[in-house]
Amino acid sequence: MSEPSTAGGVVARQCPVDTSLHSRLRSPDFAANPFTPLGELRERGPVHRCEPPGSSPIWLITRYAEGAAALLDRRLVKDPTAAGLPAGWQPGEGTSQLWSRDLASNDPPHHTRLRRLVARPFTPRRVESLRPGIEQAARDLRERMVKQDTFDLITDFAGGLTTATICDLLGIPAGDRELFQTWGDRFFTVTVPGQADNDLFVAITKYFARLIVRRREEPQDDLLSALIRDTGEDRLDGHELISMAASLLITGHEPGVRLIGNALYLLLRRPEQVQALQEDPTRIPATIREVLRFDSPALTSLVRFAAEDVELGDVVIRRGDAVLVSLVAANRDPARFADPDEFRPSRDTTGHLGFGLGIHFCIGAQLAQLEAEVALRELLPLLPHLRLAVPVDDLRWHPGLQMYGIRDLPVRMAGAESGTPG
Amino acid sequence: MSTRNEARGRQQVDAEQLRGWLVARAARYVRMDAADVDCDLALSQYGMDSVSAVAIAVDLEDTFGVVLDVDTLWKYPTVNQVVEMLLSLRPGVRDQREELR
Repeated sequence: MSEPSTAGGVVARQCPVDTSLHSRLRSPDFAANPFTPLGELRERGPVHRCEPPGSSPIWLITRYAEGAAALLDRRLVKDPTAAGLPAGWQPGEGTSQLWSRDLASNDPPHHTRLRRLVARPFTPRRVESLRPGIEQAARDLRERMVKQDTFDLITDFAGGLTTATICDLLGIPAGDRELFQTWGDRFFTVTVPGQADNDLFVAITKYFARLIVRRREEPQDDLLSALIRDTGEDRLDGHELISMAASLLITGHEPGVRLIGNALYLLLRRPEQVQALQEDPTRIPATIREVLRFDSPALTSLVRFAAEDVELGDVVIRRGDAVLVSLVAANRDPARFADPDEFRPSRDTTGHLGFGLGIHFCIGAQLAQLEAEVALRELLPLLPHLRLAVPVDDLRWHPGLQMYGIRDLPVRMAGAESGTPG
Repeated sequence: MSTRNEARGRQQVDAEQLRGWLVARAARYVRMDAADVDCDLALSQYGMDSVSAVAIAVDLEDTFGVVLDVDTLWKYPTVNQVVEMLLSLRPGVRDQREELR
């Protein structure tokens, strides 16, 4: 959820952490429960050095104070070349230049300018104006979904809702939406260097080039047209438009799905919370904030590189070393949140790192919370009647170090035939 | 001999049509008069940016059924270079010339 990035280098550099941890981080157990191993690391210390074979050291930060400090530290940069490193893996076939101008791949002063140009039209008012459309999409999806005996709250609901939302925001024609759902999912599944799905980068680049050209000729009332519009002042150039459109699409979809999915799975197992929300729906936004703290879809921050030697916690991070903040571990740091492993929507979640922190704070935070809020409102009456349609052990979790979240959530109505309730 | 001449003649016509199509499309994207486009000048000199450059590659794909890299217009920056590349790439291009009109 934090820091949208399309820069493949980031994905590629999220290597396993140390040899002993390597297998655990790759295992399905870790995907389903990263909290235990990361909690053990956090107990041991704030910053952990790992030396993946054939790569420069990576430091994993597991405590809140050091994690927040790292996210705010301007010496930890996104651009590897600023840390004396090669440019790193990039999507090939000519897309690399076209994908490097997003918010997450750049540092000040470039980042400052890009962020300003995107934030200018991406206003709270624009986000709020999407609410009726999101509500309509949620109703339609629910009505269609419940016609089936068993259905999947993620593929049949959260995925469609998030796709509809980001497409509304960007102004992507309804006919193209299924394509986008597939793209977002595929992007976030790429976690290994060399496995980058180059066709995907190419397809997205070509798609947006053509859409931008169309919007230039016939502007609509959407964010893409607003980003294109020539106000006579500074504006995004062609590379930047493609980078922005692609990164907003991708980061606007998959993390949003995971947020809704994680929230629904939490609530399915907590009928008392569902009841409390039904009695007082104004608690929904606070509940979502607690989901963001407790079950953040952003497992780790995107990678940063030390542009100079940086003292952090009890270590010195050398110039060129990579740094990852475990947002999940920081959000469950007992030094920051009391009883961190308790899901408690009434708590003060201020400072949670689910959206990151500092200049790279997720630009879509408000939108993500809005769509999750609408999703919960729409499904709340349904939740008490839903049971898992598969054994808990059959649930699948998002692989890799980048995202934490349930991949599918098959359910059926209570009282319907077959199996024992999950 | 006559066959070869005929083939060359057809090729020339095709090149002309391709060129005309490309000039028209480029002129539209950079918002200038097609008559002012010099086919031996890099289109970037007319202010064509990366969005339009990729869009032209996609337009070419759709029109001629070829598959092109997104950076085609970087590798072949002038209209004439693109035409030459397309003709060498795919003899079948001329069979689809109807789509040019």
